[in-house]
Amino acid sequence: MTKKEFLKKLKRGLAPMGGYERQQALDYYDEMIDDRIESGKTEEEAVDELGSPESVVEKTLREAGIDADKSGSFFKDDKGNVKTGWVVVLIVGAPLWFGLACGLFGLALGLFCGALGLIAGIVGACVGMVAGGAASVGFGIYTLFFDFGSGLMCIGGGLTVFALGVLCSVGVWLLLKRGFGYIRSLTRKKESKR
Amino acid sequence: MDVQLKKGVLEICVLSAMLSEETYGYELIKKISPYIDVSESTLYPILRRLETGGFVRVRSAEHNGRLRKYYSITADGRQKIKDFLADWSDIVKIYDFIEGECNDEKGIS
Repeated sequence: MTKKEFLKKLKRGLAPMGGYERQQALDYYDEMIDDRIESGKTEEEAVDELGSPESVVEKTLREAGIDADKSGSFFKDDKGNVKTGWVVVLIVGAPLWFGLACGLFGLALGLFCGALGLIAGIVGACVGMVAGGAASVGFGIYTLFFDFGSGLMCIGGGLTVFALGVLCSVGVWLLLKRGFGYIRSLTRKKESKR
Repeated sequence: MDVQLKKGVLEICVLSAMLSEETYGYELIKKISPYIDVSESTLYPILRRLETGGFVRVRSAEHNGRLRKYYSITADGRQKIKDFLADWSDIVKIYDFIEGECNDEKGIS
Protein backbone atom coordinates (compact mmCIF):
# COMPACT_ATOMS: atom_id res chain seq x y z
CA MET A 1 0.00 0.00 0.00
CA THR A 2 1.28 3.49 -0.71
CA LYS A 3 1.38 6.21 1.89
CA LYS A 4 -1.36 8.05 0.05
CA GLU A 5 -3.69 5.03 0.10
CA PHE A 6 -2.97 4.35 3.75
CA LEU A 7 -3.68 7.94 4.78
CA LYS A 8 -6.81 8.03 2.64
CA LYS A 9 -8.22 4.96 4.37
CA LEU A 10 -7.22 6.40 7.71
CA LYS A 11 -8.96 9.67 6.95
CA ARG A 12 -12.16 7.87 6.05
CA GLY A 13 -12.08 5.60 9.07
CA LEU A 14 -11.38 8.44 11.48
CA ALA A 15 -14.39 10.42 10.25
CA PRO A 16 -16.17 10.08 13.63
CA MET A 17 -13.45 12.23 15.12
CA GLY A 18 -13.73 16.00 14.91
CA GLY A 19 -11.92 17.70 12.01
CA TYR A 20 -9.08 19.02 14.16
CA GLU A 21 -8.40 15.78 16.02
CA ARG A 22 -8.54 13.79 12.81
CA GLN A 23 -6.02 16.07 11.12
CA GLN A 24 -3.69 15.78 14.11
CA ALA A 25 -3.79 11.99 13.80
CA LEU A 26 -3.24 12.09 10.03
CA ASP A 27 -0.25 14.44 10.43
CA TYR A 28 1.22 12.10 13.03
CA TYR A 29 1.05 9.00 10.82
CA ASP A 30 2.22 10.95 7.78
CA GLU A 31 5.27 12.00 9.78
CA MET A 32 5.88 8.48 11.07
CA ILE A 33 5.89 7.06 7.56
CA ASP A 34 8.22 9.79 6.29
CA ASP A 35 10.60 9.25 9.20
CA ARG A 36 10.78 5.55 8.48
CA ILE A 37 11.45 6.20 4.82
CA GLU A 38 14.17 8.62 5.84
CA SER A 39 15.79 5.93 7.99
CA GLY A 40 16.20 3.76 4.93
CA LYS A 41 12.95 1.86 4.46
CA THR A 42 10.83 1.82 1.33
CA GLU A 43 7.39 3.39 1.33
CA GLU A 44 5.75 -0.06 1.25
CA GLU A 45 7.79 -1.26 4.22
CA ALA A 46 7.15 1.90 6.21
CA VAL A 47 3.40 1.63 5.69
CA ASP A 48 3.37 -2.11 6.43
CA GLU A 49 5.11 -1.57 9.73
CA LEU A 50 2.22 0.56 10.93
CA GLY A 51 -0.21 -2.31 10.60
CA SER A 52 -3.46 -2.28 8.68
CA PRO A 53 -5.28 1.06 8.45
CA GLU A 54 -8.35 -0.65 9.93
CA SER A 55 -6.51 -1.66 13.09
CA VAL A 56 -4.98 1.80 13.42
CA VAL A 57 -8.43 3.36 13.05
CA GLU A 58 -9.96 0.99 15.59
CA LYS A 59 -7.23 1.65 18.13
CA THR A 60 -7.24 5.41 17.66
CA LEU A 61 -11.00 5.68 17.97
CA ARG A 62 -11.03 3.41 20.99
CA GLU A 63 -8.41 5.50 22.77
CA ALA A 64 -10.27 8.68 21.88
CA GLY A 65 -13.36 7.15 23.47
CA ILE A 66 -15.37 7.28 20.29
CA ASP A 67 -17.74 4.50 19.39
CA ALA A 68 -16.36 3.14 16.11
CA ASP A 69 -19.84 1.94 15.23
CA LYS A 70 -21.23 4.72 13.05
CA SER A 71 -24.72 4.30 14.45
CA GLY A 72 -24.65 7.70 16.01
CA SER A 73 -27.46 10.19 16.16
CA PHE A 74 -28.90 11.19 12.81
CA PHE A 75 -29.29 14.83 13.75
CA LYS A 76 -26.38 15.40 16.09
CA ASP A 77 -22.69 14.80 15.77
CA ASP A 78 -20.41 13.29 18.42
CA LYS A 79 -20.07 16.53 20.29
CA GLY A 80 -23.79 16.89 20.68
CA ASN A 81 -24.05 19.79 18.25
CA VAL A 82 -26.62 19.67 15.52
CA LYS A 83 -25.02 18.53 12.27
CA THR A 84 -24.27 21.34 9.82
CA GLY A 85 -26.33 19.68 7.12
CA TRP A 86 -29.48 19.94 9.20
CA VAL A 87 -28.77 23.55 10.11
CA VAL A 88 -28.49 24.38 6.39
CA VAL A 89 -31.73 22.56 5.60
CA LEU A 90 -33.50 24.43 8.37
CA ILE A 91 -32.25 27.82 7.22
CA VAL A 92 -32.60 27.33 3.46
CA GLY A 93 -36.01 25.71 3.83
CA ALA A 94 -37.24 28.42 6.19
CA PRO A 95 -39.85 29.78 3.74
CA LEU A 96 -41.14 26.26 3.20
CA TRP A 97 -41.28 25.44 6.92
CA PHE A 98 -43.01 28.74 7.62
CA GLY A 99 -45.56 28.18 4.91
CA LEU A 100 -46.21 24.63 6.08
CA ALA A 101 -46.61 25.80 9.65
CA CYS A 102 -49.11 28.46 8.64
CA GLY A 103 -51.04 25.97 6.59
CA LEU A 104 -51.18 23.44 9.40
CA PHE A 105 -52.22 26.13 11.85
CA GLY A 106 -54.96 27.27 9.49
CA LEU A 107 -56.17 23.69 9.13
CA ALA A 108 -56.27 23.17 12.87
CA LEU A 109 -58.07 26.45 13.40
CA GLY A 110 -60.54 25.60 10.68
CA LEU A 111 -61.30 22.19 12.14
CA PHE A 112 -61.75 23.67 15.58
CA CYS A 113 -64.09 26.35 14.33
CA GLY A 114 -65.99 23.78 12.32
CA ALA A 115 -66.47 21.66 15.41
CA LEU A 116 -67.64 24.67 17.37
CA GLY A 117 -70.01 25.59 14.60
CA LEU A 118 -71.45 22.10 14.52
CA ILE A 119 -72.04 22.13 18.25
CA ALA A 120 -73.59 25.58 18.02
CA GLY A 121 -75.88 24.36 15.26
CA ILE A 122 -77.08 21.38 17.25
CA VAL A 123 -77.60 23.44 20.36
CA GLY A 124 -79.43 25.98 18.26
CA ALA A 125 -81.67 23.28 16.85
CA CYS A 126 -82.54 22.01 20.34
CA VAL A 127 -83.22 25.47 21.63
CA GLY A 128 -85.24 26.14 18.52
CA MET A 129 -87.35 23.04 19.03
CA VAL A 130 -88.00 23.82 22.66
CA ALA A 131 -88.79 27.46 22.02
CA GLY A 132 -90.71 26.76 18.85
CA GLY A 133 -92.70 24.02 20.49
CA ALA A 134 -93.54 26.21 23.47
CA ALA A 135 -94.49 29.07 21.20
CA SER A 136 -96.68 26.77 19.18
CA VAL A 137 -98.44 25.61 22.33
CA GLY A 138 -99.00 29.17 23.37
CA PHE A 139 -100.30 30.13 19.93
CA GLY A 140 -102.44 27.04 19.91
CA ILE A 141 -104.11 27.97 23.18
CA TYR A 142 -104.80 31.45 21.79
CA THR A 143 -106.19 29.97 18.53
CA LEU A 144 -108.47 27.65 20.50
CA PHE A 145 -110.81 30.57 21.02
CA PHE A 146 -111.12 31.21 17.23
CA ASP A 147 -110.62 27.84 15.67
CA PHE A 148 -110.78 24.93 18.08
CA GLY A 149 -109.46 22.35 15.61
CA SER A 150 -106.48 24.35 14.47
CA GLY A 151 -105.83 25.33 18.06
CA LEU A 152 -105.71 21.70 19.15
CA MET A 153 -103.41 20.86 16.28
CA CYS A 154 -101.08 23.65 17.23
CA ILE A 155 -101.05 22.59 20.84
CA GLY A 156 -100.47 18.95 19.91
CA GLY A 157 -97.73 19.72 17.41
CA GLY A 158 -96.17 22.24 19.74
CA LEU A 159 -96.11 19.81 22.62
CA THR A 160 -94.53 17.15 20.41
CA VAL A 161 -91.81 19.46 19.15
CA PHE A 162 -91.28 20.81 22.66
CA ALA A 163 -90.88 17.32 24.05
CA LEU A 164 -88.51 16.34 21.27
CA GLY A 165 -86.55 19.53 21.86
CA VAL A 166 -86.27 18.79 25.57
CA LEU A 167 -85.15 15.24 24.88
CA CYS A 168 -82.54 16.40 22.37
CA SER A 169 -81.35 19.12 24.68
CA VAL A 170 -80.90 16.68 27.53
CA GLY A 171 -79.06 14.31 25.20
CA VAL A 172 -76.78 17.02 23.84
CA TRP A 173 -76.17 18.32 27.37
CA LEU A 174 -75.08 14.89 28.58
CA LEU A 175 -72.84 14.39 25.54
CA LEU A 176 -71.22 17.79 26.01
CA LYS A 177 -70.69 17.07 29.69
CA ARG A 178 -68.98 13.82 28.87
CA GLY A 179 -66.92 15.49 26.18
CA PHE A 180 -65.64 18.21 28.50
CA GLY A 181 -65.01 15.66 31.22
CA TYR A 182 -62.86 13.67 28.83
CA ILE A 183 -60.90 16.75 27.79
CA ARG A 184 -60.43 17.65 31.46
CA SER A 185 -59.16 14.17 32.28
CA LEU A 186 -56.61 14.49 29.50
CA THR A 187 -55.27 17.73 30.93
CA ARG A 188 -55.28 16.22 34.40
CA LYS A 189 -53.23 13.30 33.14
CA LYS A 190 -50.73 15.71 31.65
CA GLU A 191 -50.49 17.52 34.99
CA SER A 192 -49.93 14.32 36.93
CA LYS A 193 -47.21 13.29 34.47
CA ARG A 194 -45.39 16.47 35.35
CA MET B 1 3.30 -7.71 29.57
CA ASP B 2 -0.16 -7.31 31.08
CA VAL B 3 -2.03 -4.55 29.25
CA GLN B 4 -3.01 -2.63 32.38
CA LEU B 5 0.50 -2.77 33.76
CA LYS B 6 1.91 -1.60 30.46
CA LYS B 7 -0.51 1.29 30.34
CA GLY B 8 0.70 2.47 33.69
CA VAL B 9 4.40 2.55 32.86
CA LEU B 10 4.36 3.49 29.20
CA GLU B 11 3.42 7.12 29.79
CA ILE B 12 6.32 7.54 32.19
CA CYS B 13 8.64 5.81 29.74
CA VAL B 14 7.66 8.23 27.02
CA LEU B 15 8.16 11.20 29.34
CA SER B 16 11.57 9.95 30.42
CA ALA B 17 12.70 9.58 26.84
CA MET B 18 12.23 13.35 26.51
CA LEU B 19 14.15 14.33 29.62
CA SER B 20 17.56 14.81 28.07
CA GLU B 21 16.43 16.56 24.92
CA GLU B 22 13.54 17.49 22.67
CA THR B 23 12.60 14.55 20.50
CA TYR B 24 10.29 13.54 17.66
CA GLY B 25 7.84 10.65 17.25
CA TYR B 26 9.92 8.04 15.50
CA GLU B 27 12.91 8.75 17.69
CA LEU B 28 10.76 8.13 20.77
CA ILE B 29 9.82 4.72 19.46
CA LYS B 30 13.42 3.84 18.75
CA LYS B 31 14.47 4.95 22.26
CA ILE B 32 11.75 3.00 24.11
CA SER B 33 11.50 -0.15 22.00
CA PRO B 34 14.42 -1.98 23.65
CA TYR B 35 12.63 -1.78 27.00
CA ILE B 36 8.97 -2.05 26.13
CA ASP B 37 6.99 -2.97 23.05
CA VAL B 38 5.41 0.14 21.59
CA SER B 39 3.81 0.79 18.21
CA GLU B 40 2.92 4.08 16.55
CA SER B 41 -0.78 3.55 17.22
CA THR B 42 -0.05 2.90 20.90
CA LEU B 43 2.20 5.93 21.17
CA TYR B 44 -0.17 8.38 19.53
CA PRO B 45 -2.92 8.46 22.18
CA ILE B 46 -0.26 8.67 24.89
CA LEU B 47 1.33 11.71 23.29
CA ARG B 48 -2.08 13.35 22.86
CA ARG B 49 -2.95 12.69 26.50
CA LEU B 50 0.38 14.01 27.73
CA GLU B 51 -0.01 17.13 25.62
CA THR B 52 -3.55 17.91 26.73
CA GLY B 53 -2.52 17.17 30.32
CA GLY B 54 0.24 19.76 30.11
CA PHE B 55 3.06 17.27 30.71
CA VAL B 56 4.49 17.69 27.23
CA ARG B 57 5.04 20.63 24.93
CA VAL B 58 4.82 20.29 21.13
CA ARG B 59 6.25 22.45 18.41
CA SER B 60 6.37 22.03 14.67
CA ALA B 61 9.62 22.63 12.85
CA GLU B 62 10.72 22.26 9.28
CA HIS B 63 12.82 19.22 8.48
CA ASN B 64 13.88 18.23 4.97
CA GLY B 65 11.07 20.15 3.37
CA ARG B 66 8.32 18.82 5.60
CA LEU B 67 6.94 19.65 9.01
CA ARG B 68 7.96 17.56 11.96
CA LYS B 69 6.58 17.66 15.50
CA TYR B 70 9.05 17.92 18.34
CA TYR B 71 8.04 16.96 21.86
CA SER B 72 9.63 18.30 25.04
CA ILE B 73 8.85 17.70 28.68
CA THR B 74 7.35 20.37 30.94
CA ALA B 75 7.81 20.96 34.66
CA ASP B 76 4.57 19.08 35.31
CA GLY B 77 5.94 16.23 33.24
CA ARG B 78 9.09 16.07 35.34
CA GLN B 79 6.98 16.02 38.48
CA LYS B 80 4.95 13.15 37.08
CA ILE B 81 8.15 11.12 36.69
CA LYS B 82 9.20 11.97 40.23
CA ASP B 83 5.82 10.84 41.56
CA PHE B 84 6.13 7.57 39.69
CA LEU B 85 9.56 6.87 41.14
CA ALA B 86 8.27 7.70 44.61
CA ASP B 87 5.48 5.18 44.09
CA TRP B 88 8.05 2.62 43.05
CA SER B 89 9.10 1.73 46.59
CA ASP B 90 5.47 0.85 47.34
CA ILE B 91 5.35 -1.28 44.21
CA VAL B 92 8.50 -3.12 45.28
CA LYS B 93 6.89 -3.89 48.63
CA ILE B 94 3.81 -5.26 46.92
CA TYR B 95 5.98 -7.32 44.61
CA ASP B 96 7.85 -8.78 47.58
CA PHE B 97 4.56 -9.57 49.28
CA ILE B 98 3.23 -11.34 46.22
CA GLU B 99 6.42 -13.30 45.79
CA GLY B 100 6.47 -14.20 49.47
CA GLU B 101 2.91 -15.46 49.37
CA CYS B 102 3.74 -17.59 46.36
CA ASN B 103 6.74 -19.13 48.14
CA ASP B 104 4.66 -19.87 51.22
CA GLU B 105 2.07 -21.73 49.24
CA LYS B 106 3.32 -25.23 48.60
CA GLY B 107 3.74 -26.24 45.02
CA ILE B 108 4.36 -22.77 43.70
CA SER B 109 7.82 -21.22 43.61
